[in-house]
Amino acid sequence: MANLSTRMNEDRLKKRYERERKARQAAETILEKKSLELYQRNKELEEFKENLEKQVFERTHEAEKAKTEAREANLAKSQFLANMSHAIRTPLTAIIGFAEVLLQHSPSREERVKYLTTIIGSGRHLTTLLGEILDVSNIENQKLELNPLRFNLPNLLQSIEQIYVFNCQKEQLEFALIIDSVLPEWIVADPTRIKQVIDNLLSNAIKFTQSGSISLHVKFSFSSNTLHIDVVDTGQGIDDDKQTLIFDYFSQGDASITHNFGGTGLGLFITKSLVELMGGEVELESTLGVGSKFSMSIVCQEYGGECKSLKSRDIIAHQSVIIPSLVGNILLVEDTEVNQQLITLNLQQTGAKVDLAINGLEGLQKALTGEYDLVLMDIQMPVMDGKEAMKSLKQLGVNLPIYALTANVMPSDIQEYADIGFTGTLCKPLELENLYQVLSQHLTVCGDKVANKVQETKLIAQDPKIKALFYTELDKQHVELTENIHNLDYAGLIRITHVIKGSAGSFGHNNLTNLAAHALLLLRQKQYVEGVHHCTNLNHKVAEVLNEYND
Amino acid sequence: MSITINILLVDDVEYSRELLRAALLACIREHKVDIEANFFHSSTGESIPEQITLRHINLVYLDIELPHTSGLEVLKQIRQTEPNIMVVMVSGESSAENVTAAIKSGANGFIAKPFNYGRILESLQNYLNKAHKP
Repeated sequence: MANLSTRMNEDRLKKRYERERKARQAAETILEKKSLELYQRNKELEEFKENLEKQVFERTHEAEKAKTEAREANLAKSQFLANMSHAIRTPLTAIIGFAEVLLQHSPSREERVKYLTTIIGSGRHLTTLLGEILDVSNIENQKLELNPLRFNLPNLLQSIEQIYVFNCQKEQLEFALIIDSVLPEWIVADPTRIKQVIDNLLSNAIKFTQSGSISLHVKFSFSSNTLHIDVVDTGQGIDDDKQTLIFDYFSQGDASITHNFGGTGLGLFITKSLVELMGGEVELESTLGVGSKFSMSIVCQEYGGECKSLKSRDIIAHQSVIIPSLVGNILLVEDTEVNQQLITLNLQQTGAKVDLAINGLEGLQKALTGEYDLVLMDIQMPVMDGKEAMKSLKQLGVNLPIYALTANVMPSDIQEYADIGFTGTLCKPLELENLYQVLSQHLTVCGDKVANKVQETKLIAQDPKIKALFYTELDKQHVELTENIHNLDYAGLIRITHVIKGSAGSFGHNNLTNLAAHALLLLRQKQYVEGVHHCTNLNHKVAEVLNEYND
Repeated sequence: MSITINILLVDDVEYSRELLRAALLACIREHKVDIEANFFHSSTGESIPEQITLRHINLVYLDIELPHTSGLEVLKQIRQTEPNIMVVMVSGESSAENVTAAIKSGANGFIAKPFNYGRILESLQNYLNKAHKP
């Protein structure tokens, strides 16, 4: 029994052992699994922690960067304001200072002119500056819009040439406008902005060139509608490491430049932005001590006509042009006697009939009563000017082709004439080719092309009767000029320079036309001191011309 | 689709009115101007604004040299009530005074006597252009 019970005990113990062993094995497996899980979790946690640290580091770095950037932007703005207030204060100081001197002392006439010139110059500088600040603001807000219109490219270049020949002369620099290809007669782009960027680069060139020359190179690529403009100077040049910097605003080569050379530091930034807005780019090549070359490209929307070189435009009056044979009636509205005769003769050469009105009102009356195929209308006239007459004709529903005949050839003027209702503009001094082209467009062309007469147009200007008339008029203008200069009658000076500008060139006196044009430009810009100075020069030349003629 | 317009001719001389009417009709016919015209006449400048309203006038040819009230005076009266109606002044005297006064008072055309056929046609075409534009 006892045996039995012992065996049973043993069995039980054995089973119990087995059970416990299995349980332990299971527990060990679970433990191992849990431990593995724990290990993995731990690892994940550690990775997460590492990641988190990295993220915190990155975020902190970003925040710091943003902070630095903000600080830098803030610094730039402060610098901008500091520069700006310096740039504004300098001319203001001059204005207030010289005005006080004028008020408190009684300076001599010469000193007075000098002080007033400084005041006017400073005021004008301020105006430019404000314009540039506005431009920068518009560029940064992407609000700057182009105003593309069709304009005469060679005329624009010539007006720029006129100004810079003069400005360079003042600084004893040479200036040359070089046309490197055939140019279109007109393009569609924003003339004001094109003039602005060329102005910017040329005035910079003058500023940084102590001696030598400045040249403006222009060419047109017909395949890509692109106008290429280079401004080359023999100035001090720009360091390699500063060449990209100068296109940022307020980053003239170095800070001292603003003090030594003036300027706002905005010009190149604006230039670059404007050129990019016009679909092109600005490039710079420069060598220290040798000079700089700024190249721009501007994409035009359209173009037309051909102008082989500007020089040929000047001497076109001496070239033979084909005179078309035409039938029709032309009304010429023109107040200057010389122009009346000269234009009438040129018109009559074609066989067309010409009727004359001596001012806008008479022109208006005649246009209403007569039967005309074409009206040529001077702009500046007594009693009623050409613009007023055009507006009236428009109101009365007269649909004749009417061309403005004028020495005002700024694109803004030409645009204004188009807006009033003029069919087109013919620039004085008249280019016969253009005149005949307009005539052929609106009058009936006689069929036989062989009948077209080829004639030296020079002959017309040499017709002794008209020539005599021109010199008689010039004599009167000489007297008036002298009086107006003496009395500082600016309106009178504007009137006379306008007349000389429009007529002298047709009689071979291009220098008078150029001088008058320049004086007129200055007077219109209210730069009276320089304008009167130019009128005096002009008057000397007029006297010389008259003496030569009388001899 | 031709449009019908009512034209008022104001002139004290009968043959002048008839001449203008004939010229207008000839213009319409020969140049195929797309207009069906009804003509109304007045030999004086009296009560023209009222006539314009009552007769639904679209286009007025107004002589300047009228007895009693001058055409320029009538134009001013018309402009007070009808700022937009097209008024073409007609005159044998296209003096500077007449032309400037007509412009100042808001005339839309000025036809000188003796009549110029082209100018009459032009005035009709101007009317059509104006009428077709809102």
